[in-house]
Amino acid sequence: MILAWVHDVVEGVRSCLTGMRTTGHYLLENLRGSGGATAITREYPEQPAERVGARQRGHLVNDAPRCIVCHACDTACPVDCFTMDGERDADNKMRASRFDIDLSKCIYCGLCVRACPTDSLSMTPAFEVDPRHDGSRFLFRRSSGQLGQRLDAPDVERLQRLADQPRESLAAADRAWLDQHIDPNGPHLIGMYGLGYFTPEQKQAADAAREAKKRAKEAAAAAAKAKAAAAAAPPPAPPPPAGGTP
Amino acid sequence: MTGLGHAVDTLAAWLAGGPPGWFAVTLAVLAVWVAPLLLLVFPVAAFGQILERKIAAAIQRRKGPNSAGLDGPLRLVFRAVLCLLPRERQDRAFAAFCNLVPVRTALLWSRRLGLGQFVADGIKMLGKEDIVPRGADGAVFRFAPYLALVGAFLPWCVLPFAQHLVMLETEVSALFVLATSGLVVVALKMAGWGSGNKWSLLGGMRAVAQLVSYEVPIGLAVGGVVLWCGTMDLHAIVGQQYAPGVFTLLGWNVCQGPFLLLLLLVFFVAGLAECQRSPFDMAEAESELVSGFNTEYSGLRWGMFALAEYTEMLLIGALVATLFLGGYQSPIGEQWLLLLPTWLETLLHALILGAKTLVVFLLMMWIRWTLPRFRVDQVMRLAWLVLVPLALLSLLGIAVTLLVAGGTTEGMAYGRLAARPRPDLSWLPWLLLWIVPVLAAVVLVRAANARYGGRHPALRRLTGEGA
Repeated sequence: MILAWVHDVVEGVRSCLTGMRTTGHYLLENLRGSGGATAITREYPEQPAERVGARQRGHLVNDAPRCIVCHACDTACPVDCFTMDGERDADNKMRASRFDIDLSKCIYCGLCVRACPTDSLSMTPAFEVDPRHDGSRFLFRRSSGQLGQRLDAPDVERLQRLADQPRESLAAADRAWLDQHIDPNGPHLIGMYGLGYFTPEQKQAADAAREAKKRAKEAAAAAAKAKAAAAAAPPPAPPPPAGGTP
Repeated sequence: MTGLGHAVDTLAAWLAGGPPGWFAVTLAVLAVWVAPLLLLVFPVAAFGQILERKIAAAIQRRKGPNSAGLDGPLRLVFRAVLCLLPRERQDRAFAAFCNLVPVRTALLWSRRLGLGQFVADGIKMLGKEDIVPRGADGAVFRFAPYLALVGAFLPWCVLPFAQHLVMLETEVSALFVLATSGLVVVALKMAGWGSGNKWSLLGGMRAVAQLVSYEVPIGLAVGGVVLWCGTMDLHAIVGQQYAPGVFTLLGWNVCQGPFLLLLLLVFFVAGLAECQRSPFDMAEAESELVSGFNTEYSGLRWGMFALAEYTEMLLIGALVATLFLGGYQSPIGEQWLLLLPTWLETLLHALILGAKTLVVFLLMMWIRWTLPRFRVDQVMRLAWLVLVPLALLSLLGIAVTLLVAGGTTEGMAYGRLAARPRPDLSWLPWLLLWIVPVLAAVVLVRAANARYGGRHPALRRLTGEGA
């Protein structure tokens, strides 16, 4: 019994010391900065994040020319962060005239990317939002009158660049351009990936071209049909009966 | 009365000309005893909290607090001092001051070390709502934190910080420490009962069971030192550990044989349990009891419990140093330290005691962040079946050694108290004190190892082998 007690005490002390050796090793290692997580921990906002995983699900982007506005992403999205409109272009293909992603709603789940049939949606490794902008870098406000104005990719870039700078430092032309395209008090949110609508002239031209194409196609179809009908209409002359009137 | 005690008398006498006597004495006590104690222990306890967070982080391979620096508090100080100037002038002065290279470096380091964390924590705590639950026993609930603080602070009164820096010289200071630190038990029980909450009550019950149990080994350990030194006066115990020559540490109680070493271990482990810290944090086991006795406490009342805990940790450290590690004495060359001018000697002695306390404090943190929490029955088992028998064994060994001890050597007469002579061991007691116990321990451990093959008995019972 006394031996069991002695063994118990000695084992207790020994296991305690074993644990303390391990933690003491960590302690010294970390204080020296030579190992452990301290050595590889980066103070993130001060030091840049150098590596993110290859499968990092960062900001969502839409490669608009490939988008067919099928709403598969919209259906898959659990938080309804998409707003999209589509129009038929001159080739009669659906094309996104507006594709907004509300990044303040997006939960970066990636379901839309899976759902996308043309692989136009993808997630980039980028995850940083400049805290100075409270997300306004990604969402601009527009008045109702401005909604019809089209924003192409270079325009969106310009918008972002100008919105990054204090308003007073902008050139007068830039300021006027900014006022023309966004209104900080407007009721409508547009996303940084939104390409905007066609201009009325463009819409008219596209519609006309599409209509012309349609008409040409119809005419071609009608012609083909008429040709086929013409070919089929004169029935082949029946062969003269054998042994008729000689 | 010497030192501060004398200062109190002088101040009281000087003040007695004006206000009534009791008022003067109260004022003098506040000014001379309480204020320095609070000024000393509050920052040290706050610093201890930062130290603990950094150590915990390092052990868990994290970085710990590394953003809150002292620049914020410094800015507040600047604003307060320059309050008559407009705000821009204040800020400009502050910026100019911070741009001085040494200041900038210091502020940068204060950030990296998280030194401003306790200021931020304190302000946060001040801002919290002070809630007394509806079912609580209001008076008991409100009074408990103060009592805990009193129990943690009172024992400091009799601790010798330096030769002339003892607030209260009494002949029974060891008993005083044991008695006053017992107040914490009452405080925790009051907190647990007064909260009107089942978790608090369970935590309070656990706290009482644990603290009362561990006061037995603590009492026995202190008793062993008292037996060896022949005095209950902590200052005399310190003086008794003086050894002439270069290596003063040879006279420390911890070097006086295996029994006192064992007592040191018993005292340390029991002290750890008295502080209610992991692995003995039964009373606030957050995975079982939410937060135990302080579940219902918020804001500054909770802060008082936290402060009491850290103060108590420091107290255990200081007591280990005083009882076993030669108190405020330097490990080498104590005799030359005594030749220095009084103020310098006092300062150095206090710093040495602080360093020893800090070492024990660090050891406690190291243990806390290494070991998991005990079960309730394991805590009780450790107290009654391991620590108490070990303490009794040491007491017996010390008594036998003293019985057969040969002569005595003079200790050091610190302050007003002449130390009792320390036993001077001739060869037979020396043999009894060192060789016999060590041999017996080695034989026992080897026999136990041979019998149980290095496997833990619990594990053996579990697998059912070797019955």
